[in-house]
Amino acid sequence: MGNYLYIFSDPYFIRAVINTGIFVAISVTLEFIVAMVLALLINKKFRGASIFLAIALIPMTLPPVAVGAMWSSAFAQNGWMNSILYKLGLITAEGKIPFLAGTEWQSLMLIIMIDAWQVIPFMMIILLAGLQNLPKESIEAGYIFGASRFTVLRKITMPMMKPSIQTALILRIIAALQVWLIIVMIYGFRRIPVLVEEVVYYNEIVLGYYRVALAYSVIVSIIVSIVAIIYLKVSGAFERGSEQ
Amino acid sequence: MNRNLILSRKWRKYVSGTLFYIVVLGIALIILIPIYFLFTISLMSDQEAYDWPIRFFPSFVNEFVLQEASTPDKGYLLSVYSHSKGIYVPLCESKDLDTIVKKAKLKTNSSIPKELLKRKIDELKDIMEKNKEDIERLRSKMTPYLEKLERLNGRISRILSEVNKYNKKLKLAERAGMKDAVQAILQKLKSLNEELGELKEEAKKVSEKITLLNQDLIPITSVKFTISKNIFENYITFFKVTNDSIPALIRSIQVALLTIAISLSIGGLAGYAFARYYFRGKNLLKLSVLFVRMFPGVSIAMPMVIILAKMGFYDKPLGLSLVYSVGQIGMTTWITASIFMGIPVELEEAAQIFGCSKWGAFFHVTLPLALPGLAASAMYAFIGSWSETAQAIILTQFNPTFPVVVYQTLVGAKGLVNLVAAGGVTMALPAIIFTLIIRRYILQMWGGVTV
Repeated sequence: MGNYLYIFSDPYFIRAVINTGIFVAISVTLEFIVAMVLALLINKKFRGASIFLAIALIPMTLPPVAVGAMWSSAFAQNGWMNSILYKLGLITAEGKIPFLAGTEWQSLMLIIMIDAWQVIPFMMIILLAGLQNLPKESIEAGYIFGASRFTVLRKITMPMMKPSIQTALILRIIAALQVWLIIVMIYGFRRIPVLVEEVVYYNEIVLGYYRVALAYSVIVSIIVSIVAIIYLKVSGAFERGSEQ
Repeated sequence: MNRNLILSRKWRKYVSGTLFYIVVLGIALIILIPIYFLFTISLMSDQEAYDWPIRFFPSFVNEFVLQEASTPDKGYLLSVYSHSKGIYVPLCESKDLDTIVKKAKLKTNSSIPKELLKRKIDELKDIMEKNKEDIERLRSKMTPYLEKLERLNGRISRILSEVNKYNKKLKLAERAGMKDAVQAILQKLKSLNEELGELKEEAKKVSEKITLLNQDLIPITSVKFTISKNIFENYITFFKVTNDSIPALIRSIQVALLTIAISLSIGGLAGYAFARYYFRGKNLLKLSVLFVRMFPGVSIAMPMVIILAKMGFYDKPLGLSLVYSVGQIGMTTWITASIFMGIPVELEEAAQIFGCSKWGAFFHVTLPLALPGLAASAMYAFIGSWSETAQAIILTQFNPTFPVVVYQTLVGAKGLVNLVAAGGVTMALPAIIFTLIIRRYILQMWGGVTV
């Protein structure tokens, strides 16, 4: 029990819980909304669609190590992000933006952006596939009965998309709760503590805290399961499961 | 009237079409630009990667300049052209040719042949001998300017320190509320700043003169030469520095293939059962399969160390792939179940009517139809195990997988951006290729199977 008491009295634990909560809440909502809007926008057959879809698949396949390398080279003071801004004339040579020097809140936002870059294209493809599979008749029927575009979207498209949205979201929430490597690759340990990062920290970086790491992972598992169960209950996936 | 309406409709169609393509192109660009830069940086030499602003295209050649060093006993000075700064940046000063060659290779990724360097040194000597008088004349012309610049710089720094002192005094006086003193200090500061401005102007003029003279001097005191750059040098270095990377790469592939085999065989069978048979507790079981994924990989990993060590699989590819499969089986089961459900039972029954056994029907009818989906879930398993780092760090000790090696290089060798980028690209390539080959099937999977 001593290990648990140690964790609960650790100031990093509270920060990790809060950071993880903020990260999951903002990133999942943002990614889902943006992906949905984009999927609705490009929901038609167009030339070059297969090339576009192939491009959109790439970020998801990149290992976190590559993503970390990519963005840490981007946001360094002398990185390519500043170089692009400079070449475009948006900043001067003296006014380089110190992307990585922000507060914890700003850093978290940056991480969310990076995560969004990786996840949104993939989510968009999933939703796009779902959209294209919808029976056209019911949507046309909605229009015939005089519904506006928004009403059709809200009353017909979204309910029919529900299963694929649910699957996409639950997998995403589980993954977002366990994000850590990209944060460590860009900021190093303990700059922005999140739950799984703390587990790795106690296991790998400080020696002799193996038991604390174990206790930590038990806590993380409990938190993840609680969140997942709450989500499944709220979204009604259990009932859906019994219908099939 | 009617014509106008048609025109405006046509016009609107064009606008919306263009906007649509702008959106698509924008998304594609946002996805591709970071990837492009990762790749570009991985092709850059140390010298290029730390230049600012970073060039958007890696160079294929390096332009070098060889000069005599500032003092004769130091030998020669080798500089390389920096495209972003527009000047030649000094690389190293040495008498020893081997040192110069080594340093140039390290910093610019070009290997200069020693013979060439020797020849260039002779050339340099020739040129300097030929233009001896000119050089003397120019240098003697330059000396007074150099001295003047030094004097000016000395005065500038003195004034700057004085300005600092007065600034501090000003703050104190302001805090104390002495209005007269504040006024006096402000006036002093104003005059100092004026003086500083004049001095800076003068120094600028002098240094312009020096640059002009240098332009005449440089061609007769240096030799230029261009050498091709080995653009894949970072990759070679990466594999050399992390002495473990090739075995690690092989281990990673082993782990990925084993994971695919395990998760696809078990998960696929479970998926078929979920799709074809009805039994009690089916939904609960199906949910609980996915439940395994909800636990963070790291927390499963640590108890696994003990279990695997007892089984004798610790620090072995098979042990790692067993642990990965735990998470993957859930995913594979869900995906394959939905695929098998999409294939009508009637097809199997028809095959059985025509004399196939149950197994035969499965192998000859269902399996070929489900192949695309199976391939796609194989891809998930591949990517999952290929890029997994957290568990691999814990579950390996002396036989790390490739992501662990890249991660350690990144965390350990802080600063070598280009090297890390090379590692990242090496890691990403197999996954990207695998995905692009299989992408048709993925889209099919999310769209359901059409028979």
